[in-house]
Amino acid sequence: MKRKIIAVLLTACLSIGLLAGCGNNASETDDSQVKSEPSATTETADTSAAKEPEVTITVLTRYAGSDVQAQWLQTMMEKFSELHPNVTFQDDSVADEAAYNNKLKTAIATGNLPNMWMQYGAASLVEYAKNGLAMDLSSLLEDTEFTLGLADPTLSSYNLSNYGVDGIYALPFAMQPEVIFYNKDLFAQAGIDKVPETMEDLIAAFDKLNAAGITPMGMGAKDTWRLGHFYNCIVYKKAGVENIKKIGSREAKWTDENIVETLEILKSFKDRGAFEENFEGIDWSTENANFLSGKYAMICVPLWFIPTAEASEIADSLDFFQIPYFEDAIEYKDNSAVYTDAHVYNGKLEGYEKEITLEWAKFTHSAYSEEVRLKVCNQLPGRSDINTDGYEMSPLMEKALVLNNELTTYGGDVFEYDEITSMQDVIRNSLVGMMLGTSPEDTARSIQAEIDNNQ
Amino acid sequence: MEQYHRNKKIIFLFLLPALLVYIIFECIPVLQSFYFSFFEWPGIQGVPLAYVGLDNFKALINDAQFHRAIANILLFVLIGILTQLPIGFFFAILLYYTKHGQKFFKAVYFIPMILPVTATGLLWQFILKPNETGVLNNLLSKLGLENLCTGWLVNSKTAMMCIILVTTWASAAYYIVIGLAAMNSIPDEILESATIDGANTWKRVIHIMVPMIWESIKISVVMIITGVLKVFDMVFVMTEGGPNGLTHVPATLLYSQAFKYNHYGIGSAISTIMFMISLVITIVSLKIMNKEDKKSATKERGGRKVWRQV
Repeated sequence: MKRKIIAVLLTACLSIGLLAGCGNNASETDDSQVKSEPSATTETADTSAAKEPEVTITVLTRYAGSDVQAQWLQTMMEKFSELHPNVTFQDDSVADEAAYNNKLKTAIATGNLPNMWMQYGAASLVEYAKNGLAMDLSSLLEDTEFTLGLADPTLSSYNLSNYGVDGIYALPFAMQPEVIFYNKDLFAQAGIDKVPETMEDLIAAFDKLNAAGITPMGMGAKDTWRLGHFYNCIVYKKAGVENIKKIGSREAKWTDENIVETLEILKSFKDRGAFEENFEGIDWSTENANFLSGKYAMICVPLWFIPTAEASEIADSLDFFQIPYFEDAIEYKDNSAVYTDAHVYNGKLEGYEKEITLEWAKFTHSAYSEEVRLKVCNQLPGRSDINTDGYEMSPLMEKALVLNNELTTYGGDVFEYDEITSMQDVIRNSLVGMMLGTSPEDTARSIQAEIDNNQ
Repeated sequence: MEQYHRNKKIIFLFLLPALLVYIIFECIPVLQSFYFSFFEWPGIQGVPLAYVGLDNFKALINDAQFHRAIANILLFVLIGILTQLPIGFFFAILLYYTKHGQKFFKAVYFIPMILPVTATGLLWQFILKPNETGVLNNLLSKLGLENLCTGWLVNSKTAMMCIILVTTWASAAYYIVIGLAAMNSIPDEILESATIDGANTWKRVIHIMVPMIWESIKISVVMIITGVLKVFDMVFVMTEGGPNGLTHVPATLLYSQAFKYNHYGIGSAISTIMFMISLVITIVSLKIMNKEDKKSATKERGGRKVWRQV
């Protein structure tokens, strides 16, 4: 009898657990704050359902699991299905970068392409565009109502004309400028009363913080993108975005004097005590945790960090400032490192499937979509025409919106302008190698050697 | 039954399934990899393979990362043989002579072998973390040995050695089991008569046990060599070949080239070179050990002759 009772209780617990798990669907997000109504630009749901064929849109992104934008994707798929009941979605998204890359590579190698996938950088798109894997989105430029609200209305970030390819093959999404988050209390403790405006100010701040026994900047360089991101900021402010693009188009070299100088600056930051000892073995999660526990005064990270900062225990002490500029390179003051995810669409699609995929592309980059991202995911919107009525924005988010609207010249990761796929690892690893003792000149030579060997 | 043993057709029929599996999943991929090492392919369906001749091999010859990976793996093999085998067999001898709690110690020593390599790698990664976050550095600091603290997995002097020693920690148990099994197969009478003749433990180990388990030692050496040459998981989990390629071994470099950079031809060329190196090292090591066998056999025969003449 006792056993039976226990069995019944366990079964009940299991059932409740299952129901609770099913009930907590990601798509059931709190989008009550979103004021705009989604709209289909082709036909209404009632009429489309009658004559349009059944279509499955396959989506492969990194908006999954704990990624804050997973909620956005779920909401968008749900809303799009409401507008087009004949459309169902297959969401193959996976958050982990390596797993995502493997999935995408397998899809490309086998020809089983998803309708939409995520892309980092323009140069690696070239092969896809040349081989007809990516859809030419130039027709979207004719829809000025759609493009005018975009942060990049001409879609120039993904213009491949430098690589001999005509057309637009990716839609930029989620622009995230790199900034420096700082701990106001630690700054005050070190006697820094004004945020650094120039690199010279920043170096002076390093000295003051070190004198006060505070680690100036967190740098989890074991995850090589950390140092890579910081270097992007230095190189754009010192040598300009165009000069990096010229390396991609082979008009300039890594061994050029102005580029080597940027490497020297990065190395000098370590020598100046900007980072803690052995930071090359620390990962991003440790860096993040240390910053949020008040161990570091600053970290250099894109604005997607805002929700994390606001959710931390020291949220009131945190703020951010723009990457300082170099007094002797004032002409590049407005050059910034800004990261964009981009969405690419299957170039092999035809007929109605192509039409509805383009519709989905516009829907996910519409003002409504960006409103969902802001209000549901607390993410910086990528359009200027979103409805923010009735939404109380945090001070950090307000400041970020202003910053985003002021951006003029920006570039992504330095390797994004290079067609050679190994450049991401080679550049980032070489930067870490430089911190471990390689000279800036040798670092430049080893990066350039990768290009020369792959010509 | 006897007629089955003589019927070659039946023998072949029984061998066929295993042979087919071996050919399809071992031989053909090896040959394919050899073939692909002369081509380049961007990883896009429909794009044909481009014949590049020996370019992939030439690129590797000029590649500093590949040189470092080869140097690392040779060091790995050397230290692997010098640590995994002696440590494994030393503990096997200790266990052989342990009268009480042999089963308990056997189980305890075998624990690292049961753990998945990923778990072992992560465990040691936490132990070897830099600064005060690492257990080892923390311990050293508490013992007043701050000057020994370092970023174990980023310091060029310690990174590779740490991975090799962690692999030894995780693999030695395997050779404890092999050693113990071999020692248990030695007839008790031989050891007892040696004891009666006045041989101490050291002499019994060196002059009786080692020669009698020589075949197991030979197999263990070959297993260490082949196992280490294809090592991937431990390096990948602990450092991913970093920082800046410092701890790359051929298998991790192959993975990066083929699956991260889409250089499938270069990846295939690395696997072809590694296949050749493995083959050569294994054959050479077996030859050296067989020579030792012959020498000792000749000595033994010579010894018998002398004894008979006397």
